[in-house]
Amino acid sequence: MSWPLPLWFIPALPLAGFLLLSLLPLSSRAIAWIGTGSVGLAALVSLSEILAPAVVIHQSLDTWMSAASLTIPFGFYCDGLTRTMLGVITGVGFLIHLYSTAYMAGDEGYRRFFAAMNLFVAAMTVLVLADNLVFLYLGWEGVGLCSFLLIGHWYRDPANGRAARKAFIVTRVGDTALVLGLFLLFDRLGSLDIQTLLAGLEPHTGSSWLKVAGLLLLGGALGKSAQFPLQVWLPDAMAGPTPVSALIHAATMVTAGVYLLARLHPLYDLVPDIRLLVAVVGGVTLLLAGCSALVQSDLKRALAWSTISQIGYMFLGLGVGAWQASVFHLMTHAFFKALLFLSAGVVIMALHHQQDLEAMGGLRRRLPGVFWCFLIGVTALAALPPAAGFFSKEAILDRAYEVSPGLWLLGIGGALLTSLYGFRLVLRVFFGPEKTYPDGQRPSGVMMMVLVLLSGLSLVGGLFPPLALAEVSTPRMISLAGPGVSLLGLGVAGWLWYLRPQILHGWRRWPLMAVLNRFWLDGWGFDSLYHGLFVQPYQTLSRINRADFLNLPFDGLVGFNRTLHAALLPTQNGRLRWYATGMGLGVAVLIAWGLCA
Amino acid sequence: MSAVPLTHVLMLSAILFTLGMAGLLTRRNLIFMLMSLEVMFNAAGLAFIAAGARWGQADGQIFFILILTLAAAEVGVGLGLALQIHHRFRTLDMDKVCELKETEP
Repeated sequence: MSWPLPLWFIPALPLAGFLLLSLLPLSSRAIAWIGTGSVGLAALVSLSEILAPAVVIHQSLDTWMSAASLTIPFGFYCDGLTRTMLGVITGVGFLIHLYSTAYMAGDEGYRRFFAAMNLFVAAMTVLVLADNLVFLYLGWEGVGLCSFLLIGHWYRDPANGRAARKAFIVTRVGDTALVLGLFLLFDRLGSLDIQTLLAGLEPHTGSSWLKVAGLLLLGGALGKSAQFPLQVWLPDAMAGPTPVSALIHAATMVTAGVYLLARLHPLYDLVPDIRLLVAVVGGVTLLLAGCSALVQSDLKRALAWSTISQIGYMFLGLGVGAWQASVFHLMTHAFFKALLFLSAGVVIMALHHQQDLEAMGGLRRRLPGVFWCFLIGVTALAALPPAAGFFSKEAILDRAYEVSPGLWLLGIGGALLTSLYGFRLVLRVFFGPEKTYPDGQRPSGVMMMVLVLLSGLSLVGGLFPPLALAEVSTPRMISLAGPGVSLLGLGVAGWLWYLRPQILHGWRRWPLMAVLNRFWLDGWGFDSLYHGLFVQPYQTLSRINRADFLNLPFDGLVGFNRTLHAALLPTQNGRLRWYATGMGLGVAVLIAWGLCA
Repeated sequence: MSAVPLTHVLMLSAILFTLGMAGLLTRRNLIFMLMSLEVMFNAAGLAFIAAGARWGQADGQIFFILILTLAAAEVGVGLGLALQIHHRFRTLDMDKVCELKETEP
């Protein structure tokens, strides 16, 4: 077999793991080995792909479907963007699987958990490797399914099932837009192969259908990446186990929208209006989510809002044409957000599954290792040099400044918020008075090893931009603004949550602040808005139509048959003489008829 | 020897068949119902004999022999059923043995 191995090995290995795990009754040791091993092997194959000469590889395994002019192959396409995504998915994915073997130990759904995680990695690698949009859509829906399964992993609590359904349905709104976009592209261009498609776009510059296609594809990306106005599902998705939150709802799946837009960036270059809309959506989302992250009382929900906010940065980058910078931020974000979630997982475990910030405090002395890891994660999140987040966020902000100072201001505002809520979490969890003694499960060696590895990546990952960034910008005074506001945020956070907590207590008494706090805590009231706008009317409609008038003809048919049945029922009375009479009479009638005719 | 006219034989056969039929429909006891069946068989047999004689062919008599064997077999099965029914229901009244009926769902 040639080296590097063919690309289809990368999704096939976790898929094989999924099949083994879902079909065979295995011991928990074997489950851990297969579950982690399949992703580990996929990571090795991906690594060989990354280290191989950086050429574009295009392989086709077989034809998936073929009808008239539509031919969809199981085609794999690998370029720099795919290699970056593969590295993040299989690399970070492997570390999270490794962490999960210890974190999920003793869970009754251990096998189910690893089966779904493996299926997720398989689907996600398909998503980034697909050479055509239909195959990509297969992966797209596959990761959505796994997200649903894993959010509802602890399905006995109805709230978790509700969160899983919410995530599935809200992303489905975006997916429908995406599939409509695919139909439109196929209708106009006659191909769904990504490279053919992008090459054939040029003559259509300025046509209005291209804008519609861009909007529809953007809709899909908004749903998957939890961007405004479809961001409502991600905070609730934290109902899943923490490794799931780290892998699916921070590092990989939610960035699928960013990948899609980066992959199709030539299309967006042709429709500047829509591209500007992407930037505005990103900018709005990052501020909105940043404010919400600032007031959350649940550790994981705060991190979820932070994820939404950081993906907002990626969309901002995509919108200003810096897709390489966005993918760079995607990579560093995968490192430090996985690190933050997994550290949070250790804290939560040590506090007996307590996630409320109110119950935390002073854990710095009890969990020093986790404290340092979390601090590194927050430093990277707040884009303080020399951590990874600094380089990627700076690359985005730099480009935003060139395009529009307004967008740059949104980004800088978001940076201040990021630093504020990031260090707020550090201060509330690890500083201040001790409220709960962490006598729960201690992190195992494997878990700490994963945290240390991710800390390393969060520190130095920024030195290796994955793609040739468009141009290395010259240092300017304006570039100092990013770290400047981050330091400001650090200072304000330290002042508010460490040095002078009484100021915050004072603010709580102001009615306006209380209202604002409530409002941000609920994510700007979008949940109740959508509840009133969509859920309640739907429920009212279904209540009105409980009898289901469309069903009336069929119910009528059934009723008619029942009446006939009741009418004929007395003839079946079981009496032998009655039947004999019937036969005699019948024969008599037939003979009489025969005689008369 | 003057031959009996065919019409007379057929009329006798029809009368016998009607009597058997009437017995089958009015009697409630299974034994009597079986006996009435025998009468109907014989009426049919008589019609076959007469028709065979009319056409001068042996087919009618062959059919009569077939009917005899059939009747014997039928009585064998019928009496076996009668024994079983009496064993289970303690009666031979066929109006009381009517469990095999459709009930309101």
